[in-house]
Amino acid sequence: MWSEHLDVVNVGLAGFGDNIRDAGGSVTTLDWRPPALGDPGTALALARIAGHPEIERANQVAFERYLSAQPVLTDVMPAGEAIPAMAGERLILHSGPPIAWDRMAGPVKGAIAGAIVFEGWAPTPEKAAELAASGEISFSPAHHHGAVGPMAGVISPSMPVWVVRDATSGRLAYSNFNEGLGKVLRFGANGPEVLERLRWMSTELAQALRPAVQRLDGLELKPLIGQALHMGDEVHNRNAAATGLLLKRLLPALIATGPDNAVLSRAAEFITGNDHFFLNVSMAACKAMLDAAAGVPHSSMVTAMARNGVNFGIRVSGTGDRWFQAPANPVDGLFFPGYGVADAAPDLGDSAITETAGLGGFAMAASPAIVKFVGGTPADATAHSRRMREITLGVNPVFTLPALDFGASAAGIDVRSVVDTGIQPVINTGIAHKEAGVGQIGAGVTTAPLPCFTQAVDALADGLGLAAGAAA
Amino acid sequence: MVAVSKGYLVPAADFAGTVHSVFATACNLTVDGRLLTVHDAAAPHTPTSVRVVSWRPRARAGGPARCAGGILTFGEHALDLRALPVWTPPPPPPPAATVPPAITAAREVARIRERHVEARGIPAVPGLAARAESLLEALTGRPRDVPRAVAGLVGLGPGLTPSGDDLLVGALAVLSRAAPGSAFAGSAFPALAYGVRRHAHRTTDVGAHYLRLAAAGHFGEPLVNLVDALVTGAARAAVPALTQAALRVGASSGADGVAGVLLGLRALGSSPDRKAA
Amino acid sequence: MSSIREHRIYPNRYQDSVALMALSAALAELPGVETASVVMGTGANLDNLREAGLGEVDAGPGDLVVAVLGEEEAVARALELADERLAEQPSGDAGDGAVARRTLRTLRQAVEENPAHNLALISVPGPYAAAEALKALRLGLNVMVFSDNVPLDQEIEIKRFAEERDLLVMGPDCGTAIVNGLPLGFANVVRRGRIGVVGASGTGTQEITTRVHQLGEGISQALGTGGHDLSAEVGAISMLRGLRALAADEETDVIVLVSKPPAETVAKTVVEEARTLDVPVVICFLGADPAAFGGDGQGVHFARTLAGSADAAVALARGETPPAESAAPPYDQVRFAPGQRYLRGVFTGGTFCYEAQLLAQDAGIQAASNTPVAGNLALADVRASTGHTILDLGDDAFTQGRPHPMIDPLPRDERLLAEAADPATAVVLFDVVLGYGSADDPISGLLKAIGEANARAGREGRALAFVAHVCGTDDDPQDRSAVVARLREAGVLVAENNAQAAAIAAGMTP
Repeated sequence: MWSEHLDVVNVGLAGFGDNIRDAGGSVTTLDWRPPALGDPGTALALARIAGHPEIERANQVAFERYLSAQPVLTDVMPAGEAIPAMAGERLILHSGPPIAWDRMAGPVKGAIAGAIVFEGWAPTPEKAAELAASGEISFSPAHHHGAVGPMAGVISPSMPVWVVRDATSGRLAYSNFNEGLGKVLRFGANGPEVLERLRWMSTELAQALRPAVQRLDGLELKPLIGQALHMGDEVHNRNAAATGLLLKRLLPALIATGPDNAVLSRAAEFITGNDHFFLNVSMAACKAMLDAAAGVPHSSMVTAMARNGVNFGIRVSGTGDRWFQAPANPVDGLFFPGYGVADAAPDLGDSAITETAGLGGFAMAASPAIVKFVGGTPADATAHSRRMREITLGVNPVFTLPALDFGASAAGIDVRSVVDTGIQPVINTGIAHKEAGVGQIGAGVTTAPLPCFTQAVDALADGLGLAAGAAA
Repeated sequence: MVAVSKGYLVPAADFAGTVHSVFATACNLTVDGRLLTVHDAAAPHTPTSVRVVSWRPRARAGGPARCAGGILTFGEHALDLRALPVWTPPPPPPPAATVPPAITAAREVARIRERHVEARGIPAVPGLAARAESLLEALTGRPRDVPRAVAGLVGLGPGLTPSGDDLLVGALAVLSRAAPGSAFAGSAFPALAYGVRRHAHRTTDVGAHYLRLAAAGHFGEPLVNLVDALVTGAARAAVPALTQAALRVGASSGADGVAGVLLGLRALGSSPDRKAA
Repeated sequence: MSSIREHRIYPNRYQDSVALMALSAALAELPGVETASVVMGTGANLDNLREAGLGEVDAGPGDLVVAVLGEEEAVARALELADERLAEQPSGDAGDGAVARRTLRTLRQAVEENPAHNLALISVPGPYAAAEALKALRLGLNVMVFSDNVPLDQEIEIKRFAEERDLLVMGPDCGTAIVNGLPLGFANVVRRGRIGVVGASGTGTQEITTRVHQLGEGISQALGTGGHDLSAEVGAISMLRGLRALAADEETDVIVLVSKPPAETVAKTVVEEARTLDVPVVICFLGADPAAFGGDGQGVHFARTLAGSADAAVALARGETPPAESAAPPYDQVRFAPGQRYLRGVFTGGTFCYEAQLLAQDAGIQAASNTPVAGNLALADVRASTGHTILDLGDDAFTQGRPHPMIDPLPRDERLLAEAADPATAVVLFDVVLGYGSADDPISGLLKAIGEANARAGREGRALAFVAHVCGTDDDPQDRSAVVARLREAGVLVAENNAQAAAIAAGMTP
């Protein structure tokens, strides 16, 4: 080193950096702050796994699997048929990490009660709630079954699901149908008109869509999403373009499979009337890409971010099925007229799977329209998209952002980078009313809470025998 | 970061070398006197490049680089090259029925290039244009003067790959890809390649590497695509986009390369083939 | 005015053409510059330079050439500008347009931004310091950890990790270093030269490097190991490494090792290692008996004091025999009042306090201290001096939650005033440490305190002796000569070095 020009990174007292500069040296002074929320144990664990060759190798594998996944929309079928664990069982899936009935948030309870009545397991939502509390019904996170759902994310056996297949690995992912805005089950509404719509969706709509989707013979979703990004969607909070693109493919197939005109007209009206129709397809595609990256031992790549209305949870490729949870962060956003922070339910839903896959908030630069909706400027949006590159393993070259000169969207969140930089993954989200059934009352931007990531770092270090207590 | 593809001349066997130079989104490695470029996937293929996504080079010039068992390591990076898709250029296109389409398209290419040079504010290299004219005259009239004309261009201009080098590569691309269908190109390419091989040592390492590849008929993806479209007259509608892609290479290399393509086309156009047609 | 032409060659420096053309244009636009060109040194380009009147340049195709023709001053300015601009990072982040400046929070980001970084200077709070050090090492950086309060097991972990990677770790608790001429942490401005220092003691290293400078020689490298390196647990990992590194360094002709007394087995290992080297090694283990390690010979010379080790190193570097370590020079004795009996030392430098205690012992003075050497007494209450007392105000007992007195000398000034007000005090001994990191003005408050103390003593019929030593050089930002002159003007007896100051103070004490 004696022959080299000394080039110093100054970590700590800024004065030392100034002195080096005064003396004619080269120095970069960091804007340092304690990593890992100031926990020295986790900071040390993080340092031990930073750049660790085992993790670097694992991340390379996981990220490559994520990149090479090819989600393809292949089918529509009832959840009970698609998801083996649901067949013939009184099992209801919900969003986010596991949670017991008595701790569930209002909108989730409302949605579950609605699903129980919809299945015919109870006559009224009140009776349904009693049944749910009795332990007669099983609950499980959708994520545990390859499925995802927005907001309450409630999926019961008779509900139709999109089936998305990763053509590379053959793995399947599912999501329910989007019901539109207003009084809908995913916001906890369970009145007669909600159940009526669900019944129609599970019968007439699903029966019409199934042959049409099959007729498309595998609709590749990554190119469709990439195209939607160039048309102003970030495919989480804005799906107007993607819904149009999907419809463009579906409509000829629908017509060709020949349902009667009245059915066709109702189906077309329903789809065209809901700009979020594609959201659930986008989520299933993201789930397929991320499940491809899951289960690589020691990998620090995040494979799921999801909220159950109480806690925010993440899953990491190298730590198996574990959830790392913390209370959800508040949402910084705009409320519809007549509503305010006091009315808001905690952040909810599996839809942050889109951010996990490099879309949504990570791709916000693509979507000037959403920026206005969530309260911000286009400059904020590009700054968000750029900042996310600091915490990801890489970018997804298929998802390019015009506002970043067609630079690719950041993807593959590395828990180590989150904990080291303190930069929290940004999430575009809708805001649900805390009371079941009122529906969406706003939208905004939130972040994934840091404690989830510090726990994951501790767990990864533990997996290598490098946790803070261990002698290295 | 992950490697996503590699060029067809990236060695498959184990090798050892050193890091030659490090840029914002690319690293050059020296391997057995040849150069291997690891660059962002945003940039197109060269015969000897490995494209990677999501990276900032973390390596120091002079540090070791090695490839063992298909894993390329240098600086902080480890890249798995084993199951990578390999970019291979298509074989030279079959002879076009006539040459004129190339000549008419050349006007459009020149216009796009001028706009690009203006928009990017790329200054002219003193002496480049005059020496390019000398090369054109030698190619079309006095083959024995070709090496001397080449000598005037090799290494001329600032930068990693001096402008003169890029221009020669562009001209070689046209002559090489047109050779199957043009007797003129068939004889002009070896003459130019000979001159280039003889003088390649007079430029930068990186410039010499691409000159030697070009003299052996190897070119980067955007140049191959553009030249093939031009010399076959096929895909006329794609010419503007292909020109843009070729111009986007490097800081000013693209513009110089396209200038070389235009020079090559002019050589073809004023050749006896053209007159016969 | 006549024109001159000059050029500079940067081997193996690569930048894109547009950047170089822009630079050429910027240079040519400077007033007084006639022509300027920045190109790779290919034959074609060199011909062009000649034709443009920029002269004959002997460069190869891999060299970047900056050539300028113009008025002398303008040419110098142009070359300087070129130097700056070429040192900047290449900007062209293809495909991402104008990149907003990143906020650099982490070491990884800093290295991504500029891979040329090769040393991390870490001064974060102790509990986080080892983590930052590990991250830096993983990124291939050498490390200096200024932070203290780093757990010993973590110190061992980072030092072993660095060994595996062939990297240098200085610290934790490493206050000073001079690497490739750059002052790191608390360090003085000394000329570059052929004497290398490896110090487990910060102020000890500062004393040696400044004295080497004062004697006309210079420092090749001054490496710190941190205060715990020579403990039995750490086993001198850093000192052994530093020793070998300096022995292999062609610029280093003599090595000085300095430490408070090391663990005995560790000291033996270090001495044995030193005896195997081709370079002479001066060893200063303060308070240790050289006989325990075999004494002088086989390329090793033991010194008893910090100044003595600098003297010995300078002599060896000049091919001379190390001089005998000198006793106190002559001084004017002060007439104390009856009852004035005690020596009171008020130090900011821990090693100065340590050395002063040892030299006072030589003169038969057993002092109390918050950091007592063997044979001295621990002070029951660090706020109240009893009998002869020699204090280290930089010790944890005084610095909890406040800056070190070398940075903020106020606590030292207050304590000095308190000691001087004690009717039993005869001699007040202190140090002033200059250099980067230390207070910009370390003595204005001190002189005021001395003035007040003398006035009060005068009123009470006492006479005080103030004895001091200033650690620094004339090239330090605070200028040692100026500081010494002001102290002498205030009646302070300023010795040449800490050992002399301590010997004089002990000798004066009734």
